[in-house]
Amino acid sequence: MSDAQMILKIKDFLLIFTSIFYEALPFIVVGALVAGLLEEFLPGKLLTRWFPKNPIAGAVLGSGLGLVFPMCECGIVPIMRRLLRKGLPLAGCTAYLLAGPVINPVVLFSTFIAFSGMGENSGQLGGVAMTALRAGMAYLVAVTTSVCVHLVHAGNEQDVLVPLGGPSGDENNRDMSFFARMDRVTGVVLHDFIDISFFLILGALMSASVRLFYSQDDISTFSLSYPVPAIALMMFLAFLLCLCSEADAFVAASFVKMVPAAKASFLVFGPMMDIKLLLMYTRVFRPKLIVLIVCLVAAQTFLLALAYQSLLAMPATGD
Amino acid sequence: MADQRSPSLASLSLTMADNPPPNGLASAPRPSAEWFQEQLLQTAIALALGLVSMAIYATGRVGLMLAPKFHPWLASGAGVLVVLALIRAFFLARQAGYLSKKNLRANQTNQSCESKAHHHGDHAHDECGHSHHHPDASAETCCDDHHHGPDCGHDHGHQWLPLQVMVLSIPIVLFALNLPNEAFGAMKALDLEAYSLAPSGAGSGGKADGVSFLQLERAASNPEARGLYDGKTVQLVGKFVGDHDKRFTLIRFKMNCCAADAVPLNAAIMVDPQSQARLDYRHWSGKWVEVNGEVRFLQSRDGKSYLAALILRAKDTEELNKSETWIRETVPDSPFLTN
Repeated sequence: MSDAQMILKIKDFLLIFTSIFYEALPFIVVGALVAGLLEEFLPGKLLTRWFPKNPIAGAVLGSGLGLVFPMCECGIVPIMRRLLRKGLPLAGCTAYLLAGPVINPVVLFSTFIAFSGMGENSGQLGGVAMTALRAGMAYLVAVTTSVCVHLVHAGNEQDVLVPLGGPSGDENNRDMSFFARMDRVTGVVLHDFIDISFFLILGALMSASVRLFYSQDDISTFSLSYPVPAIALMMFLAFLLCLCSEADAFVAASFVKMVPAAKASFLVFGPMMDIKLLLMYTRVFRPKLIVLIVCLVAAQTFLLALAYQSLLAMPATGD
Repeated sequence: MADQRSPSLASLSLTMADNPPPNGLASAPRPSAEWFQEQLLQTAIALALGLVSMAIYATGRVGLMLAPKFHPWLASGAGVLVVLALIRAFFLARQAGYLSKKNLRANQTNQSCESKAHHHGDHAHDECGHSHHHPDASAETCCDDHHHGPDCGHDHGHQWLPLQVMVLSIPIVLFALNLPNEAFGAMKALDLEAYSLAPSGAGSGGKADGVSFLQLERAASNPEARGLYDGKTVQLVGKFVGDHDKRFTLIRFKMNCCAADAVPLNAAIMVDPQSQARLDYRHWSGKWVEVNGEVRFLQSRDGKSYLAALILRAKDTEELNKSETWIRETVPDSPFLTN
């Protein structure tokens, strides 16, 4: 590689890094702000009273909460870690954390738009079918993972959560002045913003580095020859690319001839688990819980995509 | 709650703010110097990131990174961040006593252990095992207020990790260096050896205005659409990529949300094989160009895929490169196509 090419590559790397960071920044701010307000003003007892105590019911409800409270994957993390501290059950929290970035109106609509018209191509799914496949897979993965997390860690939930710093907004602070509470809110917001941004930047740097070494053509060629390994490859790609869940459907749709199962695995796995999210999860969960979630999400996504590919998918043809 | 993180990756986060601030402002016990330093640094970084984001929006550099629909988001998020950082700075200054004469006087006159709460829970200094720095207290006035939670649940390490500051400063430094300052540069030309001209359809000819890169790319995979566009003369704007005197690849990126999700749209540009005209690719390479050509479709050797192509029917090299009829330099409104 010549020096000129190297400089161009470095510039592209910086462009991708900054674009990931600045796209996520406003949502991190919103997430941190909501987290700060919840931390200070939401009584923990209210949350535990309102949310189902049954883990399955909590997982079922949490997986669909994104339809009512749409949040992107970056913004959810600071909110969830505060709500966990407030007493939100781990199963419900995990379900919302995993499914929220997929099962929400904005993402489902963008998926529909991205795949509109693609159903005309033989073996491919159109907007409605791909949106349904994505939502269905994500819901199943999120509910199952959350229930498994509950079964494994029932009774020791606090042991698998990272303790949080910052002021606690519990009931004993209610007598404080407005200024004092605002002081605490801004403290929590900036704390969470800085805390999460550090990992966001690391993740964005890693993701941008990956782009130096692969081309879309390479992946498309591989997927046509090996449709089943392509599912795993696309999951790995989703992990590396750190795309916003609102945009990933357009990237998946750009792999015109790739088997739909591989695209679906890309669309389900990416919003639940990518480099930057993995690093951000370290601010919420202990490593053993993260490992459990990663394994469960990866295994289920792969198996569900494989099942679709084997049982339901139409054979793809060239044109 | 004590932060019991081990010195693992999790502990690499900026723990400087894990120590909770005092609650009651003027009436609260005053925190330690380390706590103030950490809080000020955290606030300064947040403020700087907010200001840099605002500047990126104001200068239009945001167009290189984000699709237009995200520009207001960035501006709003940056504005909120700046306001929050300023509010935080105000509260910190107030806690520090800089804005409170009452506090200032109290600090100067009242330093006795008995009259001020040494907000230390029930433990002695030694129990925590951390150093106690008192910014404005001498050794004999060690009871000057600094915040330690009642359960000793604070950041005992008072850590300061240069790595964290370095990482958080990267976007700020890049902005100062005016980077990134252009859209994607490292592009690869299509391997056109793997394609050949597909048999032409009806070839109705004529000019088709407003045909986009995306329309042509999508048309390539649809037999009916191929028939519709085949033979029409269209204009496309993109980057000239290639080093061949009879063909090149015109590339434009389509961005949905940000540059990270941008996907390349390619069109093959070929000089009419019957013509003696040659491209001056050394002149054009890497430049933004507008190309006028006749749409044809190339078929891959395995017959499975098609690619949109424009044929330039220039008579000679001079006309091809100089007349601006077939190819001319241009400056697009935006390097990216967006929705």
